[in-house]
Amino acid sequence: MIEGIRKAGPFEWEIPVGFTPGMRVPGRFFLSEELMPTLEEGALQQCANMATLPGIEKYALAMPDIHWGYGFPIGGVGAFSIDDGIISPGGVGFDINCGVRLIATPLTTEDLGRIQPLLSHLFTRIPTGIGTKSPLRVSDQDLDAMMTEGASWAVNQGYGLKGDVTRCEEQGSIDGADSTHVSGKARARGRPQCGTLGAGNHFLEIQSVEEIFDPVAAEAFGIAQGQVCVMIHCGSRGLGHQICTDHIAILEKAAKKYGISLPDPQLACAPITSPDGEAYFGAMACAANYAWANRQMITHFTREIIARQFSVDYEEMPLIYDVAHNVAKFEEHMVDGKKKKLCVHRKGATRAFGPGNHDLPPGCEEIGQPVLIPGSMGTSSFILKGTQTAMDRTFGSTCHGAGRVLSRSQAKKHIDGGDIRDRLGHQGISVKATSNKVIAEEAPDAYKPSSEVVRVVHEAGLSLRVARLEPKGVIKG
Amino acid sequence: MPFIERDHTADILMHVWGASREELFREAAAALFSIMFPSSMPRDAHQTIVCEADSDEALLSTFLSEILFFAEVECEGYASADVHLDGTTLKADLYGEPYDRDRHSGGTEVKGISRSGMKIEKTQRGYETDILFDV
Repeated sequence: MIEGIRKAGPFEWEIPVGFTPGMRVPGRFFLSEELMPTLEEGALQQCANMATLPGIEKYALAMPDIHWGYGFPIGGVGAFSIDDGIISPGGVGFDINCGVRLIATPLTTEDLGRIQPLLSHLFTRIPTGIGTKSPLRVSDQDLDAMMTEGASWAVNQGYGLKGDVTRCEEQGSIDGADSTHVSGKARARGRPQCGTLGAGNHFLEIQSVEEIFDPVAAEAFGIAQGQVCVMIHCGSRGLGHQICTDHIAILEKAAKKYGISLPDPQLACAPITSPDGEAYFGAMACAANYAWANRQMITHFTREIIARQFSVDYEEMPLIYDVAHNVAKFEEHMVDGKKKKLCVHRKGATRAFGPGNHDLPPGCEEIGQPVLIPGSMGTSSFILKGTQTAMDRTFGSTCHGAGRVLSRSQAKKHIDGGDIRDRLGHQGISVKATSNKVIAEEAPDAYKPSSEVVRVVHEAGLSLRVARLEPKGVIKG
Repeated sequence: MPFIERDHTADILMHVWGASREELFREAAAALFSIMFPSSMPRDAHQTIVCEADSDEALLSTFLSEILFFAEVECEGYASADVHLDGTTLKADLYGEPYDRDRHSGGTEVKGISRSGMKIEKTQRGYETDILFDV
């Protein structure tokens, strides 16, 4: 047990005001006794640092995949008052709207047969890894449209089905995107990368539904036992990285101008309603929308390949849902009995709206929002549903994944990528990656068990298990 | 080697030092190259970076961010950097080669240069700092 924190519930812990100087509210994080040994002091400190920022409401929150990042911890959720709160790129990260989507197929694992040819086709069609560029030529005008319209732009260009946008968080685009705050450098990085998967922890995985926990919700989401699905995990690529870089430099000066003292320079911020704060929001929304368009284009490439290889219709592969993991958005939440518009930052956390919310996909109004939790390579992924408890306790938020326990350097030192490839092969999971090193860094052993992280959010009621999916094949940068 | 990797769960944390500020900046670039382009050689790719900032930390993160920008838009991998500092202005020449996926795979993509924990300090061996690379 780390000194200075106290237990606040069966799966809930409090970091009291005073843990670090200047805290305005307590910190609260969700963790099981089993996961306590994985908690790092650095992550706690970062949760406490969040609590020092002006206008933070109720608690600086962290989900059970909490770990040490920069600015906010990974797994961090902070909601800020519009009137006197701030907006910070440190609460979003460099990979703006890094997120996950899940596509259903009419196939079963028996239909799939040998998976290697499918993986090879996907690996060839979808640019993956460092130094890869989009096969598409995107003009500056197209880029502007991508950044303002998001997933809709891609669908209107022919990369998808009309219904896809209704199955994305925020309908695949945030209002308020303002491309005048996107630099020439960010544009130069964004144009050649639309429709690319990227590198590192980003992946495309072929999965099968192995267990249904909640048949009613599974049916509403369009998921059935034994079904093959495709999970895509990627973000806004170099465009988002550059927007974060550009605006941290601007906001570091702005924080001084507005007299905000920062416990960590990465928490550079400005009042939400200030010109500097509005400029960051406008640019960040552009990156978020670009990411939705990007995942939509990868979806299209995937459907085309599966349609061709397995003689199924493109229309038979609906989008189950698409969620953002790194984003700041305006949302309405109840605070002390009053409805308030807040700027909710989620950094490595997933929105988990409960039943009755206005932004739920068709057929899910009484179920709650589909929540997608990817596992690490070789471990289970989960579909959950959002809950009223999340609305009451965490501004409608839950965990986003497994969370690392082993540093990349340790992973590379102690894990051999080739061995992992063989071990996964024996489990029936094929891996196609640009190098064995990326397999070692992203090995299952480097992550907390996804099932335990999901157990905590389920037991705490922040979202409830609907289905478990197991990996069959993965492509990685 | 005047940089060493320290443990960090999510990202890559490097401790970098140099006898002078210029050497510190050069080694910081070398640390970045070791993550992204472990097998690139200083051959026929060359870029010049000029930037300015009002603190050493802001200048260092701007410089490293500029390297990320050029690597991506020019599709190049770098192996060495010459750095010249004049007060708050930096001029650097990068040397590398066109990125070749077959020959250069094995590097890790850096998404951004975090300002968390970056503090350039004068010590007995010159100048030192931690740099957290978001990967």
